[in-house]
Amino acid sequence: MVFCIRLTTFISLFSIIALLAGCTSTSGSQSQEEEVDIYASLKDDQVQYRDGRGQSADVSDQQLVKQQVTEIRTLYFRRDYTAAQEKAERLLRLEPNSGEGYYWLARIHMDQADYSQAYNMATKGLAVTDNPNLIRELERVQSQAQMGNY
Amino acid sequence: MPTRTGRLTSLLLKLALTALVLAGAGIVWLDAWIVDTFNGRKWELPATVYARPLELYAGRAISRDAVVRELRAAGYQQDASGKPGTYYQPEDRLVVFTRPFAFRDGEQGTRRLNLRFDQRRIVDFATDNQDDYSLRLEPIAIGKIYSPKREERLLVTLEETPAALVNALLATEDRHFFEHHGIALKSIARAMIANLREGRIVEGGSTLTQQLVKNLFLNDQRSYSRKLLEAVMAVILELRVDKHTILEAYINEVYVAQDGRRAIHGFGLASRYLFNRDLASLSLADCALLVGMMKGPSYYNPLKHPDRATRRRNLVIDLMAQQGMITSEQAQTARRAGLNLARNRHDNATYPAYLDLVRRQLRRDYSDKQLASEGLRIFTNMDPQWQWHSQAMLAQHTKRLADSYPAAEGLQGAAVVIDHATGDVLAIVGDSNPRVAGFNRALDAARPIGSLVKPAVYLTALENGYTLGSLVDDSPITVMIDQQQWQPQNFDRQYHGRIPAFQALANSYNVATVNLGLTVGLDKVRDTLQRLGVEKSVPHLPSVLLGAVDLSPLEVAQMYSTIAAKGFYTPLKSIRGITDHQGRALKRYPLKLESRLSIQHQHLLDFALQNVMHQGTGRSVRHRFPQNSLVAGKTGTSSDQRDSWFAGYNNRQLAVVWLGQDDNRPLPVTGGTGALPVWADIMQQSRAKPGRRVIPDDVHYLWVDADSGKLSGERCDNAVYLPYINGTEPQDLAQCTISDNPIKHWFKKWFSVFD
Repeated sequence: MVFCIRLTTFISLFSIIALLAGCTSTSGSQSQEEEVDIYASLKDDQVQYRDGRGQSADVSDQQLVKQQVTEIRTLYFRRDYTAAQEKAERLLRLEPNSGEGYYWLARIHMDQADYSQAYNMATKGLAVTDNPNLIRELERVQSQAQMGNY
Repeated sequence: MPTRTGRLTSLLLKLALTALVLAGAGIVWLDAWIVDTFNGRKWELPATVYARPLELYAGRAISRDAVVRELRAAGYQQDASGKPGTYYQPEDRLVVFTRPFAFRDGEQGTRRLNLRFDQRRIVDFATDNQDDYSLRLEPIAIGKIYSPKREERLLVTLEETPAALVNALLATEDRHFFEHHGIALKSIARAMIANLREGRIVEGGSTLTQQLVKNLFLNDQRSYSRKLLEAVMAVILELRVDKHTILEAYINEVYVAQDGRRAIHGFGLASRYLFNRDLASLSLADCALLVGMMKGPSYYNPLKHPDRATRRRNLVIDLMAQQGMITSEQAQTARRAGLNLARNRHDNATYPAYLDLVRRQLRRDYSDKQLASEGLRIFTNMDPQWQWHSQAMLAQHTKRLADSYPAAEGLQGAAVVIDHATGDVLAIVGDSNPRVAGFNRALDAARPIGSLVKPAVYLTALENGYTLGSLVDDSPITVMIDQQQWQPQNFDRQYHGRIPAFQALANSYNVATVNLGLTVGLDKVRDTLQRLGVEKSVPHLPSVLLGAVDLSPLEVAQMYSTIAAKGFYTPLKSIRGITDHQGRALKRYPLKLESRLSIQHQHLLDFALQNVMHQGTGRSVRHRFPQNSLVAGKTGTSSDQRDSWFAGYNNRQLAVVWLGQDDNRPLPVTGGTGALPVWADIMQQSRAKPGRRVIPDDVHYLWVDADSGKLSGERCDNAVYLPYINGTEPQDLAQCTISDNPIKHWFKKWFSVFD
């Protein structure tokens, strides 16, 4: 009997507390804000456009590759390896024979102690590039990766 | 002594207390259930599968029409309103107002994109963000992975919901929502009177909270006990969750429309479905239409019953005006507005073959339940431009052949296109009618590959001391298989004697290949096939040397990708990565490389396969590609001409085409006359630039006599320019005669462009 009374008391107390909590939370929650045009800035026609006119398409392509490589490098030195890797793969989709893309992938794998992938990336880089400076760098990473494996 | 009445009172008291305890326990249990469900995942969200995003930048080789086609497929509308999700085409330009999109690497906000095109490419690129030098368009949603209920919703927050929609909802469904505590006693009393009068349940008097409770926790059964439970649960929900959260949940839960087998829940998705716009951008009239549809999603479907839907919408507008939520002028304007429905609606079932591959890859990492309920966002490598083009070309050619040859009636086909540097699968066609979601021939039709196997035989020979100029014997041979004689024949039924290996491969001579394969060893050829990426067991039979090994077009693509990608094996993949429904990255499928061939041997084989296109069985289409571009490939025809194959690549993409009959009937075409023209048409889509040619260390080119393989000179008749690995050069000199007009070998011409 005593147990039943205690349980009833507990339930009553719980209900009162819950009711109070509910009342508090319902007050002032009405959302009837003014409609805001979140796209207003888009409709502004007075923006300055960067214009690629006058440049040959190949030059623009090369600029894009350079820009991408700069971003990969920045991400790599920030040790944001996932983003750097994503960006390097994006570069290879754009320019499959980019030795630089493979070079940065090799370095990313080296830093993550994945020597086998680092070696493969450097080797593939060597297979697609004829830039002597890049070849030297790729060979350096390749031999480091080889040492890492032992 | 207790009296009888006293005992009865005590018993009743105990019973009452027991009932109270049970009711209390029930409430505690209900409370836990409601809170758990509400705080956890409330809904099953199907996985959304996206194509690759189209990346635009100055110089990109793509036509305006191609960009517009992708925009339309992503649900963009052509108008100059400047709203996100629209585009227009002034003169030679394309102006796009993009929608925000959560890519795997972060959110990209709305942009105004301004492009100018010439005949082939984007010549001007500009956005309203000065830092953009390129921009990814929102990828096309190419499919969904549903649970059996096929419910779908696009979750929105209350902040993203227009005030007009909230007002319309309150005006029609629950005008006292912000005053009651889950149940509205007046409404219930009114409903009870109506029900008593009718003798059955005709009116519910439910608040929004009760409706939400019914949809989330209960079934559609109409009874007084269920109604009571619903009321208790509504009160508990109101005690435990604030009004803002309840309203937001309702906006996402409610069933608004039906699109074929797909049930559209929540106003976020309904807005996309009907208007192709974000919920936030809807007008008062649009909001009223959505709210009006809730009463009967099929009955008031504006696509099927526009008049009925308009009347219902106007009723909602009137209710809002009556309750002072809008002015009579606003109501009048809204009533006069058109339904404003989107004109083009993309079809989810257009790419069954590609989605099939995506599902197979996903099942390695996710359960069916996870795929159908957790709202995963799956970013694939499907390139819509390649997919559409391959579908169209395969359908067009199979129809042409079926119309031309009675024996080709019912001709089937499959095609696979990949980016061989990354292993990305760009397109898959599994049927001559690409919309048919039945047997996926690109993945499941394992057929004899015929001469497609020959590069593996010649590669094995190159790795075992042969050169491209080595003479191989195209003379009759008899091989004993299971005590039976097997005498391979050439397609032209002729024998060509001793000829250089590169000629034998270019002309796809069977006898020379069998002789060569048996000389270097069948086991070595089988090992080469495995290294190239063939995973299934290859029979230990000499007929393997002529392609008696059954592979699907996708498996052939995997095998040839190792050759095309400088000897590096990369597992083909349809998925780049996966995020949860809030855009948090869950899984990536990064590029993995494995060196399977030496770069020198790959270079020699690549040369030989380019020669197939210049002088061999692929020469009929070579003129369709730029003279200085890399185009390499191999025809394949299985025995009795039952399968027509072509596998080939340029410096970016690789495509495999198969034609055949499901019942294995012989075809009226070979690999060269059937699959090759389809392949050439598909590859016209490629905008690959010629690029620089890198010759590996230890490889150099020599002029040799095309018939004898002996050393020759540039000006000698019949001289060809062949690559040799250092130390394997021919030693003997051929006789040299010089005619007046020596023709340079194709490679020398090709190479001279970059000298």
